[in-house]
Amino acid sequence: MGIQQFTVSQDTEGVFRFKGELNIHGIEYLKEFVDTYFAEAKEISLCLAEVTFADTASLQLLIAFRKSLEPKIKWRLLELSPELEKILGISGLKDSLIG
Amino acid sequence: MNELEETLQVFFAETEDLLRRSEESLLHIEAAPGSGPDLEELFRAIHTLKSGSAMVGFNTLSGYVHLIENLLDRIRNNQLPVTRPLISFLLEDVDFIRTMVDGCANGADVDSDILNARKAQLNRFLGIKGVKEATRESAADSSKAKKWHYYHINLNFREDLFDSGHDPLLILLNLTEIGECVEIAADTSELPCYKEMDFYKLYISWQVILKTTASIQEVEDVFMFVKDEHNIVIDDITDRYIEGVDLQLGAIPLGEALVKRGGITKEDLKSALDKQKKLGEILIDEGKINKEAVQKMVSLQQESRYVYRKTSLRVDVKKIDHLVNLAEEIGINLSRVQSLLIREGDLPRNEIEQEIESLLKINREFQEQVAGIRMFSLKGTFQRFQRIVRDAAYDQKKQIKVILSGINTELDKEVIEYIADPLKHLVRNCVDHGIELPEERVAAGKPAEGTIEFKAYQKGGKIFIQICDDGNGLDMEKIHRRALEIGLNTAGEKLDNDRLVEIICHPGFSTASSVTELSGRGVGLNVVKTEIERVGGLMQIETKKGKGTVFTLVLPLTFALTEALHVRDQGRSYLVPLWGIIGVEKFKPERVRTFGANEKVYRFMGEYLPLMNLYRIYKTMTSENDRDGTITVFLDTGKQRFGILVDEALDPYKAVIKTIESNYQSVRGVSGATIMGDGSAAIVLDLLGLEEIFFKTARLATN
Repeated sequence: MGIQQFTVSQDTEGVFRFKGELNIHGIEYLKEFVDTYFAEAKEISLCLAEVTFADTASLQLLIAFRKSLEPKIKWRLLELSPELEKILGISGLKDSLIG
Repeated sequence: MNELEETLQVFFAETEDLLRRSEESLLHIEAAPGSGPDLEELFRAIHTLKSGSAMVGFNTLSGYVHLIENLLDRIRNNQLPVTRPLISFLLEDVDFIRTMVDGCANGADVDSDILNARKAQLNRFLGIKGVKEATRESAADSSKAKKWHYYHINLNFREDLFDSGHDPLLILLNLTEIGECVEIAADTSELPCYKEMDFYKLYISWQVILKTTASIQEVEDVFMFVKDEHNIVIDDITDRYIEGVDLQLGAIPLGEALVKRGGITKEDLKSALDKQKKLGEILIDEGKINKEAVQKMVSLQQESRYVYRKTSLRVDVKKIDHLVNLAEEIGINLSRVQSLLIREGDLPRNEIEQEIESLLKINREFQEQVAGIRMFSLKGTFQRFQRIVRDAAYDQKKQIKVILSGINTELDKEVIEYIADPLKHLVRNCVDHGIELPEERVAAGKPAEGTIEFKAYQKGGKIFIQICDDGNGLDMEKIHRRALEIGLNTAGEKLDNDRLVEIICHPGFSTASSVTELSGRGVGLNVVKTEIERVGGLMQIETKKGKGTVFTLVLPLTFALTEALHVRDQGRSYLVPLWGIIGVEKFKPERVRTFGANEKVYRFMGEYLPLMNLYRIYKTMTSENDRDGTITVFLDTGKQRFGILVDEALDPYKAVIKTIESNYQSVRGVSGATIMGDGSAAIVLDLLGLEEIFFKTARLATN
């Protein structure tokens, strides 16, 4: 099932804090996490301040999930790491993930 | 020892050897940087290590080594310079990999904090960090000497891109190393529904506008490993940018601009436009005006725009500025000449000559620039035809694919305006009479979809425009029969290409049994031919039954300026357009063969070409005084090759041609006249007309 190179914790305010690297090797873990924790949520708040790298496959997964959300479900991306900020700028995917 | 243990033992033994070789190579590279055998050896060792570790299931190790491989690949492609810190880092990496391998052997995981720190450092070298700074520096260095280019890059990867270990992100990152991505639009419209998505496939495509000093070849090199298997199109759009601003954006509607730049999808635009009503419709609905009045105004506007387009020219300010500068230089030089002439004492002849030489040079440039202002690409014209074909094919239930090539070929604006309607007629002719219905094509063993290709290219000073279809071809038997019926042809007369053009372009000639909306009225091709000839052009037709037809228009590049060879014969000056000249040499009597009524051929480059004295063509001397010229000028009109004899060949000359029709009358074989530097007049030869006179005369003489 690949390698999980990230961890996720949920703080007291319900924010999912990702840490590490999101990539295709751990895509199944990411999908499993999204399906388990995001699917039923009314509001999804993410903090990606400690994500050191995210590849296209993982960004694509998050964007596809976001697109599938019903309008009533809130999607909030609170913070990005400088690396991720750069990656989203280079890939032109920032609006799809945040906007 | 089981099979797995055996494999692992081989892996560990090989790994140590690979790491040792890597260290050696790194030390050699540090001593002599460059992409030599040591770098290749290092790359091979790391690549083998990556594959080996993946094969035995050490995925963390394999993933890390893969990053190093990416880094080495950039060094190999000269995208990353070899520096001491980089070598030190890679040597440390060898040690780090050794630790990881030891960990694998002992079943211990590598410390994730250390691994992440190494990766972050590696990413910095790969450009995840510090890329802006690097770009800025390199941009500052190069902007002094190099020119900025803008490239539009369309990245449409195959869905299975990830399988080969590539990631578009890293490719985009590589792009930022050679320039600045001023626009990046990711198209996520193809992303399937989350639940149906295969997460190992790629659904996103990109459009990038790159600003760089790199050549198109250097940009292509970024995609070296993916370009063969994926749809990657790079277009140089530098001409569209002035002062970093894309001029095209202002010329297209807002909706189109938003689609182009990835803000919305085509579907979003269509759905929004469907909700929108035109101003005329709103006014009609509100009873303010009737439909006829709106239509009348629309057609008046169209007519007004057409006339404006035909008679006006939009010129780039830069070109005007250049002309103003040249005009100023001419003024300054003239003042200098004037001051030299009025100086007391002997005339400073040398200085005056220098000034005049300089004036002539500036004037030549001025003339070239003025001629250049009139030049426009055929892109817009061809794109309009694409639309005509599409609509006409739809109306007639035909399937037609349009291929455009040479769309950036430039032509004089006036020539473009003159030929637009004739070309439109030829296009319609191809759709109406050329391409068959899908079922007829299939029955004839052809694909259901026909093809019309628009080609443009320059050869010498002429532009060739071709419209080729793969349809039925002209029915020569029918044309022959019809020509006999209306007395255009005589029984038994051969129907060669020239005769074919003459017949089908004859006023009123039509073989069509029914008149359609498009063509078949018998008023088309004669108008086409006349219009083309009015601009000094020529139309050729090649056809093959069942295979298709090719219409070729040979057109002058510009009306304004002609480059020509100045020749003299019988004391008269002639200008021979350079586009048609294939050679000039001293006349050698031993190369001549004579036959028939004093017809001559001359051996030139292994080929016998018909030869004629210029004075015989223009009848400037009677045959009693016949004598051979001393210089032979060989010509190729694209249809025929032949030679003319003249007394002397002088220098090439750029002439502004004046028509002689307005003051005298049209003369076959003469396209105009010009005033030479010494004030004398020179005749400018019309090579296509000359060819016609030449070969008709020769044919008559032979008969």
